[in-house]
Amino acid sequence: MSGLPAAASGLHSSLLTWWADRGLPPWVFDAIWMVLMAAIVTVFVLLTVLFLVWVERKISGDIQSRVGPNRTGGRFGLLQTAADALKLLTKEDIIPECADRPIFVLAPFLVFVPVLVVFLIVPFGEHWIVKDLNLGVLFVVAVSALPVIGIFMAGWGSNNKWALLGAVRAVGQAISYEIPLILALVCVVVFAGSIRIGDIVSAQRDGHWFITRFPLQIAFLLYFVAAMAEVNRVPFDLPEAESELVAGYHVEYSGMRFALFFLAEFAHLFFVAAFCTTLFLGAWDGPWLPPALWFLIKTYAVILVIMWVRWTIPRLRIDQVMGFAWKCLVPIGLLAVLATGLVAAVWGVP
Amino acid sequence: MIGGLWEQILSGSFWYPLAFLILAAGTLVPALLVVLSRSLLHSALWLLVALMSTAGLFVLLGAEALGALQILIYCGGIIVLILFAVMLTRGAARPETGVHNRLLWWSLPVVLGFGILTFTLTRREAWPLAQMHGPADVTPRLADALLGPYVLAFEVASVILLVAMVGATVIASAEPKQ
Repeated sequence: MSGLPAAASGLHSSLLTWWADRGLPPWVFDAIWMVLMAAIVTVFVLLTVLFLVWVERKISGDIQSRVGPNRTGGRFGLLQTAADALKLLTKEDIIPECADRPIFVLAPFLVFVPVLVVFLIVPFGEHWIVKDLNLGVLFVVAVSALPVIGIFMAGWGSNNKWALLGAVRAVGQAISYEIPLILALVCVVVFAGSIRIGDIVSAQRDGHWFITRFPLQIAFLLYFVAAMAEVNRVPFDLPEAESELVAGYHVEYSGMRFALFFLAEFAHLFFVAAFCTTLFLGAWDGPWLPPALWFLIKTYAVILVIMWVRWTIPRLRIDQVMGFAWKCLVPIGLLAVLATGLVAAVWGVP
Repeated sequence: MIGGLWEQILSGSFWYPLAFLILAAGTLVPALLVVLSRSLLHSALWLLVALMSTAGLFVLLGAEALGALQILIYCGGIIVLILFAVMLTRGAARPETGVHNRLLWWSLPVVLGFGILTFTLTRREAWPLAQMHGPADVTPRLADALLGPYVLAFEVASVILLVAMVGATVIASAEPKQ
C-alpha cells in the first residue's frame, strides 16, 4: 500500500545519486526537482478546478431539478468547462481606461499565486507532500492572508463603485472570519502538539481522527463555517452578490484575467476542503484503499457538502455576515480553545 | 575572474549573496518609493513589497518562523489596516490630495542628523562575519522561549494589545452627543 510513495521518495534519492555520480552540482538537481514539483502541483490544481466547476454545475442542476451541462463532450457535458476555459482564453482582454493600470494588472496574480503556494503542504499520502515545513499551519495562515490584498487591489484598480464595494466586503469578511478559523486551528494544534502537518496527520493515524475526539467537534464546525466564508461561497458570497453588486471585485475583468480569479476561487475551495481533511478527518488514513485515494475521497466529500450548502441556503445580508462572525463564531472559538485546553490539561492528550 | 565566477556558480555559493542582494534591493527601493509615491494607495502597496522582501531576508537567514510571522502580521494585518484607513478617509485617495506637506526644509536637518547618528553608531562596531549557522530547528525553540522564560513579557504584551483593542472599540462606538 505504501509502495508508490516509497517509490517516489526512492526515486528522488536514486536520481540524486545518479546526478552526483556525473559530477554535476546537487543544487541544480534540487532546482530542477523544485520546478518539476511546482509544475506537477500547478497542473494538478488546474485539472482539479476544471473538474470542480463541472461538478458544481451538475450538482446545482440536480438540486434545482435542472439537467446542467449535457451537450459538450458526450452525455454528461464533461468537456463543458474545457470549452469555457478555451472561450476565456480567446476573449478580448479589456482594461478600463480609467483603471489604475499596474494595480489592475497585478491583482489577479496576487490572488492566484498564494492559493497555489499553500498546496505545498497538502499531504496526499504518507510521503506525498511537496514540503513538510515545520511551520505547517502557521505557513498556511500567513500565506492565506495575502489574497485579501489582491482582492482589494482588484476592487480599487478597477475604478468602479461596484468593484470597490465588493472588495470592501470581501476584505472585511475575510479578516473577520480569519479569527474563528485560526481559533479552530489552535484547538487542533493543542491536540496534535505540533504545527507540522506530518505530525498532525500521524497523531490521527489508525482511525483516531480529530473529529472523533471530544471538544474538537466544535473546532471542526467552526472551521467549516469560517472556511466557507473564506472562500466566499453562499451563504457568505456577499462580495460578489450578483443582484446588488453585479459581480463584485472582478466586475471589470474579462478573459484570462477573470479566469485567474475564477481559478483561484475553485483552487481555494479545494484547498480548504483538503486542509479540513488533513486537520480533522485523518488526511490519508483509511483501510484497504491507497492513501492518496482516501485523501481525495474525503476531500471531495467535504467539497460536496460545501456545494450542497451553497445551493440550499439563501444569501445573508452583509451586516448579518459580520455580526455572525464577531458575536457568534469568535466567542464560540474562544470557548472551544478553552475547552480544548482544559480537556488536554485534565485528561491529557491520548 | 570569469572562471572563478563560474566555479562559484557551479558550487552554489554564488546564489546566496545574489539572493541577499535581490532581497536587499527589494527592501530598499520600494521603501524609497513608499515616500516618493504620489498616491497613498501606491505607497501602501510599495510598503507591502518592502515588508515581503524583509520576510524573504528572514527566511534567507534561516528564521522561517519570523518570516511567516512577518507576512502574517505585517503583510496580512498592517497593510490591510492601512488600505482600510486610506479607503475610509475622505479624499485621501484622490490624486489631487498631495501626500507631501510643506515641511520640506525641516526634513533636511532631520535627515542629516539622523544619518550622522546612524553612521557614527554603526562605525563603532567592527561587525565581524560569523562563520556559523543558526540552530537547525528554530520554531520549537522560539515557542519554548515564548512560553518559558519570556512568558511574563508575552502575556503582558497580549494584555496591552487587548486593552488597546477594547479602548479602540469604546472610542469608535461612542455616540456623538446631540
